[in-house]
Amino acid sequence: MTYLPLLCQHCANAPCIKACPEDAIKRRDDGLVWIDPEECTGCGLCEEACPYDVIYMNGELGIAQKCTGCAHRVDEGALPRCAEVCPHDAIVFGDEADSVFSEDEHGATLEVYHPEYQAEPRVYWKGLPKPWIAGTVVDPVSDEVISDVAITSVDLFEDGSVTALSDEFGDFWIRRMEKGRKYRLEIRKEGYEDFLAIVTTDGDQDLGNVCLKRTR
Amino acid sequence: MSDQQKHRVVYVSHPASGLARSNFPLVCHVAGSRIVRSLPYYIPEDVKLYEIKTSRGVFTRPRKEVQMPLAYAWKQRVHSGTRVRYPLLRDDWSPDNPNPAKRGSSGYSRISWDRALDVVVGQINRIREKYGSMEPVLVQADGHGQSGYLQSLHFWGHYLFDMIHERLGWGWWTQQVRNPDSWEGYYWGAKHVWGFDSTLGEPPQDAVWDDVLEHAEMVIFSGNDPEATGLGMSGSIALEMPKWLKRAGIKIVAISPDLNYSAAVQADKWIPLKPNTDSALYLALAHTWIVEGLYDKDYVRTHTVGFEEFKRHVMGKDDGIAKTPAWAAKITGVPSHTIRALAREWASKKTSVSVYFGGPKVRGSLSHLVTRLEAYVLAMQGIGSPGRQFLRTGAPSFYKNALAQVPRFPEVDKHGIAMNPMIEYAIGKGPKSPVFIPRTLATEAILSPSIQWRGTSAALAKTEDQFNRYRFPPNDDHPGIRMVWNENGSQPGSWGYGFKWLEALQSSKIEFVLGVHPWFENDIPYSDLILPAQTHFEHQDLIAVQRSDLLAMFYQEQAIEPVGESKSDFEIHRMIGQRLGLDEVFPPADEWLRSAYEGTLASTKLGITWEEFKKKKSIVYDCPTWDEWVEIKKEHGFGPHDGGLHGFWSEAGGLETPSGKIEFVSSRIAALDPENAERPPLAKWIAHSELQGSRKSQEYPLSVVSNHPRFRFHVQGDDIDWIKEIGKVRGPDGYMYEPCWIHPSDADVRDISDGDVIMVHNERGAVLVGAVVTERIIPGAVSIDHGAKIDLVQLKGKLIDRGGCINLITPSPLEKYGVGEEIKIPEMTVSGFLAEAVKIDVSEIVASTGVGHGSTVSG
Repeated sequence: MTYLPLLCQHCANAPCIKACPEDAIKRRDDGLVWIDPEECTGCGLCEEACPYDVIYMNGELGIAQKCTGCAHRVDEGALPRCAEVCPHDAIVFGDEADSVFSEDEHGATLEVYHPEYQAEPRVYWKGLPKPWIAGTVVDPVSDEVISDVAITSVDLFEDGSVTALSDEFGDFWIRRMEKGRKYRLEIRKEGYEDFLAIVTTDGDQDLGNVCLKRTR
Repeated sequence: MSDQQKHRVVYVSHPASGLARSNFPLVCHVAGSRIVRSLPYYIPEDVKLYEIKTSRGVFTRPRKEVQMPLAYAWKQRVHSGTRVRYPLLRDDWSPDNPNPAKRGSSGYSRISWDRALDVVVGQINRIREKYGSMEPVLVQADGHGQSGYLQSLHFWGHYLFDMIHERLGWGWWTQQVRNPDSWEGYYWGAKHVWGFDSTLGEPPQDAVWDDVLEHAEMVIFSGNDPEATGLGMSGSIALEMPKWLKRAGIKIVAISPDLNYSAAVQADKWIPLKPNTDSALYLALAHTWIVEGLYDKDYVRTHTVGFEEFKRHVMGKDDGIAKTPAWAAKITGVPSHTIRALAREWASKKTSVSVYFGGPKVRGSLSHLVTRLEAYVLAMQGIGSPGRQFLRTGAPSFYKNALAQVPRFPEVDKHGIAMNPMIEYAIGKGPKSPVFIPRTLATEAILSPSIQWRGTSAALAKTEDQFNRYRFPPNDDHPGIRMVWNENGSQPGSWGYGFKWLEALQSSKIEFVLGVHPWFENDIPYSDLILPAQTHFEHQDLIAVQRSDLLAMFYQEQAIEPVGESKSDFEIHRMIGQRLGLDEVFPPADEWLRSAYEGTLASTKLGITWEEFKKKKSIVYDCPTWDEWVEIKKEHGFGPHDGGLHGFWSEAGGLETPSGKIEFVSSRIAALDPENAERPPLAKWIAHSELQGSRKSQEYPLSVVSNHPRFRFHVQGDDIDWIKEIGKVRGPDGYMYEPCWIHPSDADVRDISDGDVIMVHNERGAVLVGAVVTERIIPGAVSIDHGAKIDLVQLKGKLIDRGGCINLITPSPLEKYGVGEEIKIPEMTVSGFLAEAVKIDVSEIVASTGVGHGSTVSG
């Protein structure tokens, strides 16, 4: 289960700026992209152009609106509202040169969301959701979970494999797989027949109970 | 010009935890009559925070203090379309012809305060003249209004009628006793196992984090959801505490029908189980431990009584059914291999169980059994020994005996903040008036000629009280309830069978209904007279921060001019009191606040005068250093990392039970109520009609889970646009429907897709909700948070609720008992009951003209 708060990406190569026939969408020196309500005519082209779908039409005012990065607060030295009220500090605001934007202590690197849109977003993410493969290893004869089973996923088209061990609940969870790949899953435990399966990570894969057969 | 220069900055209490208690306040920026912003509070750098020092690291809290989303959105309620601006009199009400059946459908007209007070006082006098006392007046009670100390408190009706009794001698009044709503099961159940009357039936939390963070290896979140309930009640400290667990390397296992908001982000393992079946799971854990010898036999021998009888039941020696994991798997839906794995993990790792208010288990039918079984399994694993505790992830601070849950000076606990002036009515040892009704039985008190029950349901009542017999009306010649004093509008959305409550308000017995509330919502449109109360932005008050890990007091300046002719709850009752000649017991607010303040350490020890405090506006009390805390603990017989039930563990006695020990077989129930089949001396698995497998479940196969809402606070906040945007499902007709989680397998067979509008219904009625098709709910169950704002409409000739207020169709406590039979446990069942779901065509919804929410307010 993951949550992904999606706000304006304040892109360096912003499709909305290019799409606006009135040049009403502007980038400040600090990088925040904003729609000038005085100049916006409400034509809606920016809403269509935004690949992240984070521009909204305000029917009442007849203009397009989006996250301003709380530019008015930033100018006063305050944080944007979303960063300030987040009780988990999951949203961090600052200069790209700040240390929080470099690798953290777990070595997680920063990513941008949908780089293929080529909009060069200025919002960075740690831990963007990636597909996982999970299941519970069970011995159906004894009706017990099996712990310490080695589960290896072998990428069928690229080099490399990952091995996880099932825990005390028989659960295994191979996280952060690449999307849209095919993996050979090898589940091996002494005293049991090998369990092999091909899994495609077109989404998260919950295999449920994986029942191992005892060797005779 | 900066914000600070443009705007006045005002501290405003948390909007909705109530009972004269608050979390840390909102920091509101005000320009003229507009609340521009509500921001989090930062604890000043010069306030000393605590540090819990353990071998796994040092734990403290951040200085930023964030409240639930609703708190920051609350300002939208000030000018909400539902705001009551003036005294409103129902058009077709008159003293001689109240037209009771029209309640809920009538229009209202604006009247002056003078006339409104004439009407109220006239009705009080009429009742007195006609019936000879105030006993026909049902004065409602409520736990959670806005959280100002004095002005927005919801027990002024109780105080007023108490003073009418005491000063004017007009006789008693019918006190509606606030029942143990959000911790129901522990009150009616676990108290019989381990006592803890003064901590509401749950083990005290003295220094519990020192123990857990040093020793625990696994924590079970049993329906616990700090992200929803904890954040709402005690602010962001409730979210910090689970992070402490993670940082200490403690595994979190969530057991709940739903993957709730905390489990989704914090739990290492989710064990979904069918609603209201935790009892069977606990029995199967006990079975595994007995079979495999995995329990603390010495502890059971020295610290408990009655285990052998429990063992016989678990092994099926008494009823022929061994409570094996396979047996439990059929009931709970949890695979037997998972139950055994959990049993072994629980036994081999130092495991604590964590709950908070609410959760699916604690407010279902017979929830008193599951809490007792929970206490049994905790006892089998030696509760109180290091790392094996009962843990609450969040304040408030009163769940303790001598020491706070985190390092705090006991002196600050005792005298730091102003006492709740209405505590006796709100969290009392018993009702003040000898004529009373538990809140769960209010409907029955009006509609049934006579009811009998056991237990006052007062929060701090002694366990023994649960065997006392009470009745209403108190005698056969009694007129019963004739007038309702409603200060909150929360009865139909938070308690059982709300549709029946609305019917009760339309009863011809009821001659007058007074509503005192800021908003025209829920059952307020069933009033004959509505007096406009204020939001907490519109008056000065004290803010007593007790629903947090730190204690503090703030002065709340009036932020904006009152809306319309609204007055605070306090002022409204004061005005009525003055009309009755009770001026002396209703001093002006400022006097009351000053005297409350002057009793606190800020005044008595720190020497800050009331005038100085009003300028300074805040006092946040320092916490002891770790070394000072260790000294304080030593004085109370605790070692540095002792906490929770350590004392009981080391002394093997001293509980409030008759034996002083943990009682598997309750000696009180055995002596005083042995024949009660629903609550036998030994807690057992008891199948009942609201469970799957019952005859009723053939027609209504889905179990409804109803948690405390994530985005509302009980019934409050649904009129806020921002909250609707994040907390509702937009239907194809554009209406914002209350979300209903339904598993893909259940949705499939009913042809329900994500975003469809569905009708959830049972024999009590129907509500409309928006489908959220998700694997976050176990198959066979649906999850709908309680308390959505009622919006009655017609569908195919039937009156149903479009707002999705699920409490309208929850069971009434009377259903289990025949008419005239004694209600043995006046519990409320608002989660874990049966219903069916069906997709509907929104074009068939007809906005009702016959019901309150379609009615007009003129003037």
